[in-house]
Amino acid sequence: MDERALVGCAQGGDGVAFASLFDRYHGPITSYLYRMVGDRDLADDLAQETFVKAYGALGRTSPDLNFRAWIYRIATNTALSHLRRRRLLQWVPFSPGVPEPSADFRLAERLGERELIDLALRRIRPAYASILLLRHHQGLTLKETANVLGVSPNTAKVRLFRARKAFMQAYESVAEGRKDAR
Amino acid sequence: MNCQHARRLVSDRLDQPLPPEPARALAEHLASCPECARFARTIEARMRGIAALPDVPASPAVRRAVAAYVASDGDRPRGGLRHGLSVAAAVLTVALIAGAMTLALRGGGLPTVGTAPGAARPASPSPTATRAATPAVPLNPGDPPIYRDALDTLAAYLDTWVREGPGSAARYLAPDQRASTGDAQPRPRAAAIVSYKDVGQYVSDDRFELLVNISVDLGGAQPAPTDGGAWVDGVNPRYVVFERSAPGGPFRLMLSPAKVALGGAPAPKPTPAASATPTAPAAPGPTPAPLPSCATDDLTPTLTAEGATGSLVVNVFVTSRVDCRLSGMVTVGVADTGVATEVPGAVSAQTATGPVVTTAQVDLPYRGAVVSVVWSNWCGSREGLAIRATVLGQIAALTPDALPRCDDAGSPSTLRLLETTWQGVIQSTSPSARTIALPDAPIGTVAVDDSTTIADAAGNPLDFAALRPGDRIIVRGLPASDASPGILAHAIVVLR
Repeated sequence: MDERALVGCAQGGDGVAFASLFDRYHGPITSYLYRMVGDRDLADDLAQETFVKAYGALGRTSPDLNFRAWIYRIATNTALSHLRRRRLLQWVPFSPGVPEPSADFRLAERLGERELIDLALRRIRPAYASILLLRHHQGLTLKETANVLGVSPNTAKVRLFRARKAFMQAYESVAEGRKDAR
Repeated sequence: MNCQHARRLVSDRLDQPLPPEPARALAEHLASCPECARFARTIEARMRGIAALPDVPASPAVRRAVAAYVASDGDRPRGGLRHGLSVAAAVLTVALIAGAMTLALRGGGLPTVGTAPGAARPASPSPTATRAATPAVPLNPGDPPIYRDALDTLAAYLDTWVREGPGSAARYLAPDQRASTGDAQPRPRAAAIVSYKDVGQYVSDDRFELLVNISVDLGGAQPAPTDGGAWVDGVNPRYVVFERSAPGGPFRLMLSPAKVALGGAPAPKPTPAASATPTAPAAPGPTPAPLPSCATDDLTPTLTAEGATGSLVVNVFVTSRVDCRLSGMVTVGVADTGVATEVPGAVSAQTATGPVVTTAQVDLPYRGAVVSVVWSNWCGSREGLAIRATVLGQIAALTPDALPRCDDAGSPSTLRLLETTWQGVIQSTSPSARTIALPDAPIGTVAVDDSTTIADAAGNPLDFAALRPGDRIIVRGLPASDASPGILAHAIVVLR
């Protein structure tokens, strides 16, 4: 059964059809969320939350729903919401203390390319990481990416440009730390 | 073609082919500009790197949980997974911490404040004699080193923090007690007693969190009643996180904002901007003790700005070193950095291109607050433009990446406060995600985290588990994100 038909059945309350959609997207959504939050257990939690939300809301969506963009939108909002919540907690240093400048260097020294990328993704705004992961890691088209974000393709292009520049800068910063540590 | 335009096109062509003419112009530019050519090679390589990141395998546990949820047609509470893991980890943590956190860090070497009322205790011994170099923690040989390291760290930090830190016990002496010392910042005869209060959460080998009670022995003196927001019956409950950035590296100890009882902060007074939107009635409950006024030096404002559907959401994070009431205003303005223009007062709208400003009054019982405003309809220039937030003379500025869309050049640009109070009837709750479905309210979903206070109308604390479908609640909080419905609750009042 093609996806359009599956979505139609799932919108009508067919649990088997929803399970098929889940099987198609569970892996990609988990990977996407993992790259967003950097924690496997948390990614699983957020993936579960994403699909539970989707199941609850699917019956209220329009017949021409683009499920792929929609499920990524829910995942994105779920992840950004979590990250924002975490940020809002505003942890403060227990004691003024002395920063640990060498920690990054030690970390950077052991980093491979993938770790550098992960670290750079974590250093940029979550919204930037999200759009880069959607477009490049998850392979969404520009139009789908725009759909996930609820913006026009032109706006998505502007955001992608900013996100790419921010990522490159963060990557260079992390890589520089590794170089300095040697 | 200049370099800025060329780089933009380099980015664009990663998403879709360029039309022939721009493609040709870009090729010519790249051939003649080594910097842009290098930029093009680098950006392409970096994006390939992101594309090559490996996938992680899907979790069978999630599959089972979602399948169970679907099979129950969405009625079954979500459980298992992290929730179960957390419980198991918490049990482990409890075993390790329960006795350990009663570690008494007697404040060795504290300067004597002999004139403090009730200071009948003998002078403290020397630091070296009494400091708990290694807390009496019943660690097992097989326990992860995180516990031992972290607890050692906790012991060392607390000892200093209680006596000398910016949130030191000295802040909590009553004014007459402060005066009696003849010292503006008296260092009390203090001893921190840290006791384990709630479940801890094991997050990873490099991080765990737990809620501790920090109580301070003030040598017989009582904490000032005006500081009751943070100190409840002499206890200051905080979340503590131990975290290290690399395996084997040192732990950093972080202290959460104070966790206060509901009603610790009066509802903000409505401002002209805020009163334009409907709000729920103020939360009932006992009248809280007023917080002391914030001092300028205690405050730090920071800014973020995120674009959303043509508007810009500006968040001003105001953090304080102590719990206090910010009786002044958080002023958010749009200013020309060249002339640093700022309009004082509570004005929600000015001209289309001139500076605009809005204000909000906030309390900082969490040692932090967020004032969020939505900036819409900007038809002026972006040159030299900045968003400025002023808090009791402390200024933060930010040049936003994006500006609001120009909707109508004939209408004023506006800043409006985001609504922060809602009410509705609980339809369902999710214990594992700690969310409340509130479909009859525009916010939809309420997220609860560990800093959320929940209480009944009389101010009696309630657990999340006590919330039931059909309960009418008032929620104070912040939008979880501008792109999704739902809020993060600071406080919930259950009206039964």
